[in-house]
Amino acid sequence: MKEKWLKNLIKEARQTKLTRNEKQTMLSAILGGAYIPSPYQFSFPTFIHTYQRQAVALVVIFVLVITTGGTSFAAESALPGEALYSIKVNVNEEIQSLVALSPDAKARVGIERTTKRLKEAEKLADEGRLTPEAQGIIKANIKSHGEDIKANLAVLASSNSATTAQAVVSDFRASVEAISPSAPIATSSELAVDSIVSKNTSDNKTDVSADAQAIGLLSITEELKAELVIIEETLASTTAAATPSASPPTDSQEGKSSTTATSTLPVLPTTPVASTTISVSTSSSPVLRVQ
Amino acid sequence: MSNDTQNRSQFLDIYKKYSDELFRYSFFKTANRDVSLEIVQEVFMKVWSAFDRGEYPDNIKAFLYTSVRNAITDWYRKKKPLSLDGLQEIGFDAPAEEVSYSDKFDVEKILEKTNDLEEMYREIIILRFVNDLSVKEIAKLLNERENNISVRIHRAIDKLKKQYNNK
Repeated sequence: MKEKWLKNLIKEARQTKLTRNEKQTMLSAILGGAYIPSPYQFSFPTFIHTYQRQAVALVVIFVLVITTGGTSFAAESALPGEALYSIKVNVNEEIQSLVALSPDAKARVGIERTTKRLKEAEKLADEGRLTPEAQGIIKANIKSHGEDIKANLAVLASSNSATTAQAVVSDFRASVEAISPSAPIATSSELAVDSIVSKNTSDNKTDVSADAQAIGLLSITEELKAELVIIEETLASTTAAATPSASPPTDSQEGKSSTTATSTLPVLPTTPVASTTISVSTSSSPVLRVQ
Repeated sequence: MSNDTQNRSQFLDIYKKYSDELFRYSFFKTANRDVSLEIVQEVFMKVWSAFDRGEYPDNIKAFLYTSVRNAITDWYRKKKPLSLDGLQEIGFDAPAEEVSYSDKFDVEKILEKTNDLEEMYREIIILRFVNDLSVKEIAKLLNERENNISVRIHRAIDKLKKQYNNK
């Protein structure tokens, strides 16, 4: 059936194919689509093995100090969406965290960074620049700082300094509550009512965007609080696992202030850090001060 | 992680095996290299994202051919919104301005030989002989009975033969 002319025709037709180049380009377009790296992720820590990270950081410090000390300094006041922000978060603060040697200090750097994020969000909201992108960046950073804090607290808890870990966490709670806008908790329903009222009274256009800003800020605060609760719970479960007598699981089910109070109370005379903890937690339940 | 690498290697096998013939099929039906590239890429992207979700089509070859065929139909529909019947007439005669010189040369040689064939027969020839699909596979793809396809193949060869002898 396949005569010569047909064979020739088939042979010619089969010459039609993708070029090598086209094949490669297409393949990388297809596979690349599933692996788009986040533009906010600074790439240097990811492709280097973890044990080399400190060495790289030292080189980066050196280079930065010599050449772009000014840039690094200027970056300190950068906000999400600005060019230097990535340097601030991924270089300046990463270095702070690497320079801090003990897990205790590292966790505290993490907390400091987290509160910085919240302040940035407030500043952006004030200036009306808290865009969804900026919110995304801030939330992602809060998440990754949270991971850092958790990791370091886990190290603390496993190395028999659970009390220090508790102190760090309650300091964290105190600082979050100190900054978080409009008292401890403003519920979203309150906010919605506010927005309806203000819409009726004044100029629509500016108010809508102001609402968006407020909601964005609120969602960031909620994110941070959620992260805090997760950290507290992880810590509670790890310490409970390590020393079952220290804090029974029923305590952690109750209010947060009682958890921190009961577990940190016996430590009061020994560690100076704990004294600040107590003063914070007693503010919500003054009875404890009498005891 | 291992699942991911498994997906990847499975996908690469499929890509290596079918990308050329799908491209060829699309190229002979659209006579447009860029459009064909786009169609093939889109179809493989569909496969890849299905793999990513953990879905694996039962018959990958049929899936690929059907997807390409649908994409080609879509392309014609967008290009010539008026009649599908008319499209079958036009088929290969669609202008090939965007085809580069060497492509044009190859395609024209083949088109010339299959010029007077109806689109129906041309497609059969490409699928059966150039891309080596079985009668069963073609029947499934074109949604016809196998008997019909066999008859069509015979007729297509007869017609081609006549043309060839006349030239």
